[in-house]
Amino acid sequence: MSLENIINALNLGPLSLLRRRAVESIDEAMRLGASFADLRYFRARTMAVSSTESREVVNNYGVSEGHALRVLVNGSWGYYTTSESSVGAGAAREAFKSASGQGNVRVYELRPLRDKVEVKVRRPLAEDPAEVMRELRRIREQVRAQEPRVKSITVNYSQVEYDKGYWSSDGRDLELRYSISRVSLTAVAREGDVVASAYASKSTYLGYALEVFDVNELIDLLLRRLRSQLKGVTVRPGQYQVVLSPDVSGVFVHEALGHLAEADIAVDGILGKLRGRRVAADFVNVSDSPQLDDPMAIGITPYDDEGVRGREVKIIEGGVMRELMNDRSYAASLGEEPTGNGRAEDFRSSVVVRMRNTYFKPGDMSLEELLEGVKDGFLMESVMGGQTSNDGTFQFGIQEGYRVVNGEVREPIRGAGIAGYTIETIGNIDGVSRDFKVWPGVCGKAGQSVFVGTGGPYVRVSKMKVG
Amino acid sequence: MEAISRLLGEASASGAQAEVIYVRSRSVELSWEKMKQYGMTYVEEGCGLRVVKDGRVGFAYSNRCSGDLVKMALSAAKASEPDSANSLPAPEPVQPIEGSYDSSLEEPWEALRGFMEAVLSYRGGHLNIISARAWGGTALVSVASTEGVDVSSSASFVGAAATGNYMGESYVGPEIYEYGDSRAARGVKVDDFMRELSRKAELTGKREQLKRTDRPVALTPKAINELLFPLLNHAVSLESVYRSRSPLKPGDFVGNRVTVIDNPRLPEGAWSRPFDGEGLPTREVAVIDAGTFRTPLSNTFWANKAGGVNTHSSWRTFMTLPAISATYLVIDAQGAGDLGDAVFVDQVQGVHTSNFDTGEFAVNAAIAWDGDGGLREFVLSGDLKQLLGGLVGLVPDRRRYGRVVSGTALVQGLRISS
Repeated sequence: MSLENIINALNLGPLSLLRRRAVESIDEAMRLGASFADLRYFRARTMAVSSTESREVVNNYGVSEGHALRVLVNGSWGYYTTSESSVGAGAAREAFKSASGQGNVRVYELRPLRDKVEVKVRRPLAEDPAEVMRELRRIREQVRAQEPRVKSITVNYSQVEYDKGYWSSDGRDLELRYSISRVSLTAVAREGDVVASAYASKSTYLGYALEVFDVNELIDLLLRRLRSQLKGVTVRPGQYQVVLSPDVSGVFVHEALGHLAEADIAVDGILGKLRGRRVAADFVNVSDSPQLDDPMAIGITPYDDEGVRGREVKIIEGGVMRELMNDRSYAASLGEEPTGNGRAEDFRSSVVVRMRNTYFKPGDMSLEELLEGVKDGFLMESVMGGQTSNDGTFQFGIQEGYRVVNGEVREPIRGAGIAGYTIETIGNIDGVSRDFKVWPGVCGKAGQSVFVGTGGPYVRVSKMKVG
Repeated sequence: MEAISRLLGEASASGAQAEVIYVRSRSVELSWEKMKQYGMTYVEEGCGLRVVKDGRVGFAYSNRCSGDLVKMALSAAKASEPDSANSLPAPEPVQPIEGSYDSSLEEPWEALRGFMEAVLSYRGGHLNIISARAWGGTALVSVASTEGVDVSSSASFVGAAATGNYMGESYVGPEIYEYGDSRAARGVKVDDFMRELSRKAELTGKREQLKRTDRPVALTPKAINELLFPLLNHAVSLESVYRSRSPLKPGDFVGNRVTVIDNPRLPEGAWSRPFDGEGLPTREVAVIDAGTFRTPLSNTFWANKAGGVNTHSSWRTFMTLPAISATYLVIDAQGAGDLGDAVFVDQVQGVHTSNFDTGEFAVNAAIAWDGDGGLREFVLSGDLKQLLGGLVGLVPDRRRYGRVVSGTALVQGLRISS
């Protein structure tokens, strides 16, 4: 049955022009001999405004729009991605030609479904860049007034409004509308020969970030980080007890564990071999979810870019390695249910297994109890990002951290990084707090960037490399 | 092109200076993973419009080069503050780069299939190929303005890459990435980078903990590309210097007779370009000359703002305003001599977590070895000044890797934590 017949059988009413052309291209692909075909429509309306001590400018303002048609032929995907305003039978022929090899790709087919999801905002997004600039200017001057040692300040605001469509030969007919908005502050301060640079940002799917969040809190956070760096000391490299804040534990679980639990990496990596085995204490639980009830859970993915409805993936449950995140191809190849982790940055990009909102689940200790157990170590409050390799090594930079001696939080540190081997580090977790916070991030993989949420409680690690 | 003329005409009629960057590209890509293979044809067209009116700058972009852009760009201009540094450059003669167009890459399927077959032929034994990619295509870039700039360039690009590791019964080696790229299909030497990948997989088939940490490091050209390029690229931007966001100041003595030249016209370099993002002719710039930081890289705005020379180093896509970037950093220094007990570092993780404003970094040396064989990962930390200042010299194995041309660099004074 063709997609058009399926959609008509579902009595969905008249097709839009876009949908009609989608149907044409998919039906043409199937007529040519594809065993599966799908089409993604992507439109992103973007605005990025920047105010610094030396320039005010709208960096980015416009529309990115196009299609990605994908066909499965002889076990190999063929894509035709284009910025053309619509695609039809010609696109199917181009995609068919692209699927030029013999492969072993399989696809998990789903039941026909029509759905339209619009993630509602609490605060309307900005329409006029000039209004945004006025607010950024106010923030910029507030930072400078509160901290005269600031020599350079950048206040950025960006928003992107997504309109996505998905149609497939197995009858998925989906539309998704949502937005991500972000405010960030970067400052450089000098005192004598000491230079400090700090960063703070908040992002949300709930609308205009400058109104969803209390910007004063963000300013306080920036200044705290800046001031701690100005008096921070370099660490003596070595192995230490470390308490990771929710910001850091979230990035840790994303970088060090999450990537290894992506099916495409797991098949060649260390976690694929550990499924069903204990890797941590029974109070360690890690999941990836398409939606969390937190304004900063910007990995929001009700449906992924393959039309799969997202579900929670329990990566570690009770200390035991359980599930992998997958896309339709890896779900079929591994004989598993799809999880909704097939994501593409835009119409230019292929679908890759990606995280959404990845987090440690809270435990039952307090931060004070965790710190009491630290004789000689660190409290790591904020990261600058991180990276992992599929053999299980990870690294991330620390922008705010403190020395801890006999349970007492002491002087700030600067220029430090933490690194290690994931399985050893997960196994060295000896305490998890009751707290839970989510932080927003942008994850890079395979040359693509997608919004993600990372979250967790305070987590204590008995031994970790600090350098 | 008609759409460009129309946009410039409409913007000019509103009283603004205007500049359009137009990009049209067509490329194909082949990708292989064990459980997923694909081919992709990618076609894109887009326009970016920059306007300057009453000293204010505005910008808008779209995949549709329509009149809406003028309205949006003028609206964006209202948000910016008036600044005499906002201006569009006058035209200058542009010389093409010979050999930057390989017409066989208009339909590169055959060449790319050959690359993929060559990469995958290395599978076997303990060498586990995790993924392979090949890409190639052509792009037309045009920049035109109401000030008389009107330049166009068609270029081709091609490359192949592989990721692999050592795979034993109970041991998984670290992931090693190697690649080659060029403007012409004949410039991609698959065997060269696959032999490197095989050698490094073998080296890391067994890894020992680094026992002694007070040793110099030897950064391979790949490691220099991953670590030094991004740190130095940020530090030598005139914007960073002007805004106190660089650890370096012009005139600083930074290293032991090190010289760094930005060369945007490197023959066969896949990123080489005859003109920059503002349509101005590219040229070599001696950024660091005999150990002294001489010339920050700049574009029209920052040269006007900071009062420096415009090095024509504007870098952009059609979706962004011109920023500043080096194209290829060519590094020269005296010979390194005896490497002694240096630890070789070939791949580092987490450079993006560095503090670019201070130059401080703490990265994971994921692929490393010494005379006794492969080493387990360790943290390498320091800052840009220490890195440049600690440079003893270069090994005569100079090559282009990514965005640098360099030999392996012997560096003292960085901190190692294992």
